[in-house]
Amino acid sequence: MDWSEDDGQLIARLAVGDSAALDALYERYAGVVFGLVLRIVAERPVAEDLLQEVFVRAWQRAGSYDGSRGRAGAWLCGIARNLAIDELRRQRRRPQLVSEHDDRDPPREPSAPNGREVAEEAWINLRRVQIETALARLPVAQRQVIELAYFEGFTQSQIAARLGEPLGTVKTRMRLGLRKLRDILQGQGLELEVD
Amino acid sequence: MMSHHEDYNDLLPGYALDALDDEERRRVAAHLESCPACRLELEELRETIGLLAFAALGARPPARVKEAIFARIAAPDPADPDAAPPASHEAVSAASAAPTAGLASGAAPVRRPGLSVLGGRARLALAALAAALILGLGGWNVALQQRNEALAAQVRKQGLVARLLNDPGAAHSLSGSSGDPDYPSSGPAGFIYTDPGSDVALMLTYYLPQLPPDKQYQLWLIGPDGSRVSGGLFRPDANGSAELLVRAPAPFGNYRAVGVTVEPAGGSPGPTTPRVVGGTLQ
Repeated sequence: MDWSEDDGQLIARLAVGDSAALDALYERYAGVVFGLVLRIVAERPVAEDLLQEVFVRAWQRAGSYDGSRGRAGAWLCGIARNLAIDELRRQRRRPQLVSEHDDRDPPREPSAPNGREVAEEAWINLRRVQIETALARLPVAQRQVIELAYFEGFTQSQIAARLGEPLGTVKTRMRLGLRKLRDILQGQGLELEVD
Repeated sequence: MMSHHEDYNDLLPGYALDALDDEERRRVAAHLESCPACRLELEELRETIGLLAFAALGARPPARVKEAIFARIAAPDPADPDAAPPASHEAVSAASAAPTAGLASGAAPVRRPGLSVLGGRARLALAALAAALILGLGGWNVALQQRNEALAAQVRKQGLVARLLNDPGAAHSLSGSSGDPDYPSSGPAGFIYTDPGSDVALMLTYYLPQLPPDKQYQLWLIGPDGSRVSGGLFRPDANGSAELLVRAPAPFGNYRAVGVTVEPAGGSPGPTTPRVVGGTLQ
């Protein structure tokens, strides 16, 4: 196991066609990407297809990745979120085709993880704790509009209609909430800068 | 009709979340073309949003997904001219799915500009902590209260911390009160990972106030009868965070809750001040 190689190096190797770097990136992020798309689309076969697409696109687009525009994990999750929300919005436009599968909350895969998977998942879980801690510090109403937009793909207008709130209120909550979240996470990042 | 930078700036969070209506989105996109300050803020917001993904509970995908990915990149579909990477095909590793252990060992971490959100050294520190705890290696640079050999050996033997960190049921949230009604949960917070059958636990705490030199935080393990035994003494780092490997006198199944108080340096036989942060273990 090699923890010294950071995401930027892996992407750089990806960009020159080093598939071992894709392997490493997959081991590091497949769990969180799969969890994300599964939460958004809720159907396991669809989520598997999306997961595949995310990493193929990362492979194709690594050359255009700009490290100053966000870290690799956020970059991958951004690709994943966009693909999954597109799929979700497509499904909403043809609701009769939704829910052919009843795969909500499937059990975890029973296969035994190898040592590297355990270590990667441990790190992902630690990171999830950080994000959950930050989200828990937001006022509930602000957290709600952010989650409705991010995980459910609703626009501000749709959120306002769903909540029965004025559009301006939703806009304000999203603005305040996201900026506060950024500040909290930046603060946590500094806290975790251990010498 | 909007015309001021501030108006567009207020729309950036909605734009970053792709939650604006079409007309607004077009106007913001046009403004971004000419406004470096808004572009910069948008990047920050997008990085924050990218981290939201980690709030979703991770799930282990079946092996067939990875196999399909490597099949696709190894044999690009002729109808899909973009399926190959754009440059340096000669550099493709012969064994496309080769294990990556040991690759680029010793390479210096690259520091990129941008936010420090859980990245850079923080990521490496957490990774090092996880790896150290899982593999029983020494040398991690996160302040652990007890890094004595006996405890490290026990952790290694039990593979315990890896199991705790990967068992959603093992994590118990800890909270304190900020006294701020707008942000009821903005006080000290954290998590403790326990296993009822083990006397070792991992505790992470955040936002703890700094203490004068003659004080320390003391962790208390609370029994079903309300009895308190010390779980150890610690100080947070300069930012109020602490990662603590806890060794209890008995397996954690014997305790119903934990609490942290401020005590004189060296500790007290029992808590002498109100709880700063704590939570139940059920």
